[in-house]
Amino acid sequence: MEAAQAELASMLRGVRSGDQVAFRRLYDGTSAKLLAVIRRILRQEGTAEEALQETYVRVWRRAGDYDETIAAPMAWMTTIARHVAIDTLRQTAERVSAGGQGVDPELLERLPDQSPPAAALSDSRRALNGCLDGLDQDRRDMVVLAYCHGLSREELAERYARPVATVKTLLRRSLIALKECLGD
Amino acid sequence: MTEPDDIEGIAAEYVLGTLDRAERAAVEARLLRDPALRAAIAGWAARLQPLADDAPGITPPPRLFDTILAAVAAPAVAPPTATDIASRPAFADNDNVSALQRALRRWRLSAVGLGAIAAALAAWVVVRPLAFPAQTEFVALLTADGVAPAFVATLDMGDGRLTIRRVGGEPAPATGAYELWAIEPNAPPRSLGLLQNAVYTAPIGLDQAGDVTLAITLEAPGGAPPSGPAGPIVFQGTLIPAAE
Repeated sequence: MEAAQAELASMLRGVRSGDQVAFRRLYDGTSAKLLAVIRRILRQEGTAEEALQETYVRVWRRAGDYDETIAAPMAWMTTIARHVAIDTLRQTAERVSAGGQGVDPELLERLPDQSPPAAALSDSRRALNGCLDGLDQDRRDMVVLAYCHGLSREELAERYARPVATVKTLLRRSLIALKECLGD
Repeated sequence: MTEPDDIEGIAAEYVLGTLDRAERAAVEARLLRDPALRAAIAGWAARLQPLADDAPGITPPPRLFDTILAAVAAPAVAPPTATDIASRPAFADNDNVSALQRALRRWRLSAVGLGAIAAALAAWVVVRPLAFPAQTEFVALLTADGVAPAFVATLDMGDGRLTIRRVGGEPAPATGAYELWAIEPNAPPRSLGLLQNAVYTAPIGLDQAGDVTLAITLEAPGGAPPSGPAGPIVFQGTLIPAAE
């Protein structure tokens, strides 16, 4: 585990024992990143900030479940943040219309621009990029849209004019292909 | 459910965020007792993390952390924060009132959707004004979606009894039954019985109520098998202190 992650892990140990100072440091070190992750899913600022609050409440409450032998702190917290954001998105979408919210038509066009310049990429991002690019374009986009923007199977089905069950199959195949490509 | 490929597929979609609500609830219920699933999920979280690392940071407004702290700071863990004290009303010598207000803030914060739950809570708090004996009462709001409360549970550690009341949502379908579970960290879910009426009360059998989640699963009419919950989680919520 790299140094920054090891430091976050030590803060999480503090949080587990109720240390508010450690909690503050953890928040200072991670909240900008998690808010950015949430904002890609929830575009409304106020809603995203509520989701960020809920994320840290869950981090505090679940710190005892965090197992640093299997997960890096940032990956664990990102999973919590994305689930909170996705839940909020789905609830909102259900309230707006039972048929689901329309997908921003510009979303996909923006996707290729979201990666930082190649020189700024980490090794792991470069590796993942390489493997994503090895997928068919549609399959790659489905994975990225789901992860970054919280699209559901139903929304992907609508966008790609495929049955929901097919989307599920395609997603799982794409993910397993990524795993094999990444060599683990 | 236990083929290795299936675990990988479920874990991958859990991390990706494309499982539907019932599937995700099932994964979360299973996580507690399935180390292989936990490991698979951790693997996927790490594998896809570079996609999250792309997003350029956005600094949240400075006051946000205080709200979070107010929501998590229970007296058993830490003394009230400066914010808590500063926001106490003039009649703060009435401990019940300030405790209720703090509890209400926690509830509001833990509800991502806010509107419906705040309204429901306000109504409920008015019905039960200031009646909490200090330090022994816990409450949980059980929801299907984190927003609309379906059941409200109150636990009196004084006599160890849990009372749960249906306040919204549908009764169990005729083909099944709602079963109530207490879920403590690192322990299998424990059945508290079937919910056959709108109000149900049972001894909870706990020494402490911290970190306990209540969940309701939809089971066959006779209830779950002795091995544990077999149906999906339909409602869940965490016990929190109702008064200080």
